[in-house]
Amino acid sequence: MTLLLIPGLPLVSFVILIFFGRRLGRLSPWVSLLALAGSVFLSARLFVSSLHPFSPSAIHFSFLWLPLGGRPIRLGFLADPLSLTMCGVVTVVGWFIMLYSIGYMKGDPRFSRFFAYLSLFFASMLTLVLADHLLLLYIGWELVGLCSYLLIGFWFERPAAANACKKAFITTRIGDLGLLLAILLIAKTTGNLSLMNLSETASRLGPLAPVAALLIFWGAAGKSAQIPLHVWLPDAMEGPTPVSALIHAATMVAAGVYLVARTLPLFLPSPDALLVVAAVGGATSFFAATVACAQTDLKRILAYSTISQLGFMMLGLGCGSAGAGMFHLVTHAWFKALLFLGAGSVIHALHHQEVTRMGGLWKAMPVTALTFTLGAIAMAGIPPLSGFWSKEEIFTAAFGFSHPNLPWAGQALFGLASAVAFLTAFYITRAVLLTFAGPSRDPHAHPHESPAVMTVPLLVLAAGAAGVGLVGSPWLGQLFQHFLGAEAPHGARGPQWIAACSIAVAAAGMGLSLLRYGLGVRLSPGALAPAFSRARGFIFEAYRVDKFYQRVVIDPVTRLARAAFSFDGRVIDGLVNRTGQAGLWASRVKGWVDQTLVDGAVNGAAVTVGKTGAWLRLLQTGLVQNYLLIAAISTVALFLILKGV
Amino acid sequence: MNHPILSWIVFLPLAAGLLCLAVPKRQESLLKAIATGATLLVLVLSAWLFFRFDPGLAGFQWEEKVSWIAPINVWYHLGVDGLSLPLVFLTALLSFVAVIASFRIKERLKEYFFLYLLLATGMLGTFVALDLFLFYIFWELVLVPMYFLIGIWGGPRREYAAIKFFLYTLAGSVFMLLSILTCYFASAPHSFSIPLLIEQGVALAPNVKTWVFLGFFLAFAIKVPIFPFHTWLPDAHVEAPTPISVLLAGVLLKMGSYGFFRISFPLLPQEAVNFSLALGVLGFINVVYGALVAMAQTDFKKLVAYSSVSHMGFVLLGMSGLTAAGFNGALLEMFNHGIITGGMFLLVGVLYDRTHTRDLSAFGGLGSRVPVYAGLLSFFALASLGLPGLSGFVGEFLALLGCYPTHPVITMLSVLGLVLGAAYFLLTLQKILLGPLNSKWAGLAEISRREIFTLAPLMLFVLWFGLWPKWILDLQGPALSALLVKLAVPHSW
Repeated sequence: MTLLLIPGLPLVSFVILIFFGRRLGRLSPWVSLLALAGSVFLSARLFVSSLHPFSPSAIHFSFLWLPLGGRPIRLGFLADPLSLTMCGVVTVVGWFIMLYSIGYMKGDPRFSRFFAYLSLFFASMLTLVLADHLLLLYIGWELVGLCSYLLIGFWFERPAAANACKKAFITTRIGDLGLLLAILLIAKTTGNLSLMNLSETASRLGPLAPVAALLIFWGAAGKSAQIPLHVWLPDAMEGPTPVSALIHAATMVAAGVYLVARTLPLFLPSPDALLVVAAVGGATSFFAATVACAQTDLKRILAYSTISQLGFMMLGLGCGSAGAGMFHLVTHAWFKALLFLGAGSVIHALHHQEVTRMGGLWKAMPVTALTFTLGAIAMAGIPPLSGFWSKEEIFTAAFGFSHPNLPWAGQALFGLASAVAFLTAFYITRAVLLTFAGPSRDPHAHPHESPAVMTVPLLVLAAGAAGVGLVGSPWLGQLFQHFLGAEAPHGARGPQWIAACSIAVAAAGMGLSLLRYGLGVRLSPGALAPAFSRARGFIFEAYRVDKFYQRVVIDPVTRLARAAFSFDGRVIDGLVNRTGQAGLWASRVKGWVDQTLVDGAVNGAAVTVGKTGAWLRLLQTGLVQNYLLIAAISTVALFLILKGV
Repeated sequence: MNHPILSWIVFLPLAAGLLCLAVPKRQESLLKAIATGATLLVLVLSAWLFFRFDPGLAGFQWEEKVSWIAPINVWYHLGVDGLSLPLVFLTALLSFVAVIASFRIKERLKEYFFLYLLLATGMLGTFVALDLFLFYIFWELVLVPMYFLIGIWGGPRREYAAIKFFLYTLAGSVFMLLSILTCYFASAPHSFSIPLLIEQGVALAPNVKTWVFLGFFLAFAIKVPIFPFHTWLPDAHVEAPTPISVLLAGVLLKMGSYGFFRISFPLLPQEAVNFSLALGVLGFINVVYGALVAMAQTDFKKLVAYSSVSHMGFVLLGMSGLTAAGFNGALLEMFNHGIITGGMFLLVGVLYDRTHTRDLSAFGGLGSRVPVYAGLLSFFALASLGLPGLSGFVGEFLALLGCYPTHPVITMLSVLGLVLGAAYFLLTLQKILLGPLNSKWAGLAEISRREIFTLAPLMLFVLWFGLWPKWILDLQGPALSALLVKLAVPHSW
């Protein structure tokens, strides 16, 4: 029952706020903060008790949801190390983001509605995380999508926000189809949708396991904005910045990573399925990192960075390491939430988000500048901050990846990961320098530091971004990985030089960025400048994928819909009307036949009888010789007929 | 059962309707009171049935059986089981809600309520009749008041829509009558009794049975409506006044799919199995084609009408699966579609009453002007697009779950309908509610208490069955399992 309360408390807060929010007014956030604090406390208690030896099924609660003859569906909640990890990230990081929102959303006409939606989000997200059953996970999965829709479109008067929320929902729903089909496939083949004992499910699926796994990955790709379903996330930045931090960086978008980590036993039997995950993750990661280098909107830089980092996590999972992927998920939640909230603080002060019009903010906003920089270094992967440790895990996993037919796959993935790490260090340093360093590029700006309700969460998250990586570092004996129980510690091969390589790549990226944006050294040779700027335009528009989809998917579907409608009206309904008209016509013909022929026949019969009588009367002259003549003629005629003439 | 409670439920509206005829024309509030009182009483009685029903018992409950036309062995035979009870309750609920929504009708209130209550008797009777003769009478009884309700109180093209609806449905019924008579003469002694015919089985040559099945199929398919027999629906829905659209979508369509469950499947089990694939294909077409056509609409009401075609496709998919999950999903989806689309039509009416337009491009930004209306519209739209936590999801999910083992490819293609559904509903929400407020509607009035009162019970059930479907599945499950046994298909899920 405790488990039920973890998502239950935010749900209660949602119900209270949706009905009494307006009356509660400025007290609203405290209702949701209190409820979420309850969830934090309950998860912490479970967390502590789980540190003692326990079996995963020990903390489990289920109920009958769909009684279906011989195969009832029981849904339930399960606390195991994986779900508790996720639960901790969501509730703790989420609590501070919510606190920050009080300052950020101050004065908004729909202030309490905002916290109602956030509460609903926590209820849904925690349901997703704690679900012991694919169907319940799917329910939470769709509901977080709803919250994302509501919160991206929170300022729905703005057309861009109205478009973005619709795009986000529909794009992720295309992904959800994969998850739904996986559910149908697994249900039919094994009859068991439980998330416990998935390796048994995998063996029962047999050759279908990779199919189910890839369908699940399709769903995960939608939620976690992986190629080819990544297009919604940059636009989702139309939502208020705390929403971007919470939902579109730290938690919801990571649900795809969590799902893959959770269902990893279905992927493990097939190296091909794993390779697909790793390759898609790696490709997305690289693609988005390049786009992030070209953006000038602070939130869009962070959005592409999020896509890139989620791809990085997928890369780790694809290498078969749930530990690496989940570890990066945890550290990323802290430093990316910090970066977004820092960006929010800047936007709060300047009322715009173009880095080209910023600069020199460190003087006016020291706390924001300091914490943001810390988050940036953590993400770039400089030890001992958190990003370094989790990235190193992914590097190690990539290097150790082996595929039976592609012996070079591990090296290739490792190379890709290094390139991504380089680009990451480059673009985030660029963002820091353009925002905070140098002179101000906007003479009209009057920046000011944000209130304490916003800076305190920044400081807390900064502490987390700095320190949380230690739990998975070799210094603490990779405590986190052991807690997850995901895999045995890696072999002796090369963690030392991998770490060195990782640091070198990060330092190179930061250094290059420093040269270009800190010292203003032009890096591109003049002769290449035109080509360079064309390429930059292409990259800036995110490789024009949106336009491509518009042409290849949206327009044709719209045309198809119109064609179907016109077919419906002209052909099908036309046929109905034609049939109706034919009926009408037939009845007119029948009416005419009735009037002219049938009635005519009746009337005609009378007339005929009358006329015939009149005519026959002519014969009845009463003169015997006439009768005799007729008789004679008739006899001759009869004789001739009978003779057969 | 001692009390003829089903007779009360069926004939109370008729009695009230006759009472309306005796009331002077000008006493409008009395007319409203009579109609409200009668439908409320019916609702209370059917709620009582709903709670007192014992799903553990096999067969029918509250059965009434009286010989009616002895020479041809016609019985006045009523009864409910887990299959019909949800639909009786749905009819009672929507009849009550739509009476409240009818208060805005201004013209010829007396005739309106008489016809309305007559319609209610016809609908309720269809769902409780256990004698084919009686069933046919109730089935046809629905047509006449509906024809007048659309034809007199409808929109600009009401006469065309009414006559189209009437003739189309009547054409289908003729074939049903032929099938009924064939079954009647095939039984010995000749009987119209549905339970008896099911028990005996229809003793006919297989090819004749196929024709009998097709006869029933045509009548039910037109009512559901199944592609390509659906084009009467957008016309009738759009032209009908709001409360009548609610009943059309909410109840009349269910008469078709109920017919499959009550008559076609148990009477002709082998044919049902043979037709399963065809039914699945038609379900797919309904789902995807209906959604595509809905997407192209510019008229709000027509969009909802075509969304009905799409949703009824899920009912067909569930049926075609011939599994417990599929049947449960289909029946649940029938109920859900009734309350969700009923709600949608009420909301279309609310907006139309205020703006006198249904053109989607005429709105914009209403979310900031009428937040409560916006919240309710979003709620029903989300329920309609199958958001988990709301009842539409459970029905659709079960239908797909049950269809997949039998027709995997069809199911895989049909899930596209979920994306299309999300697309056209969100597009609609965006066009009406989001964006900057269209200055034309700066003075738009918020939804009234009476209107909220009509929607509240529907919302309650959308949430209830969305969060806790066990309750209704427990109720309908055994009857559907018995039907599956009859069909003798090896079933999973």
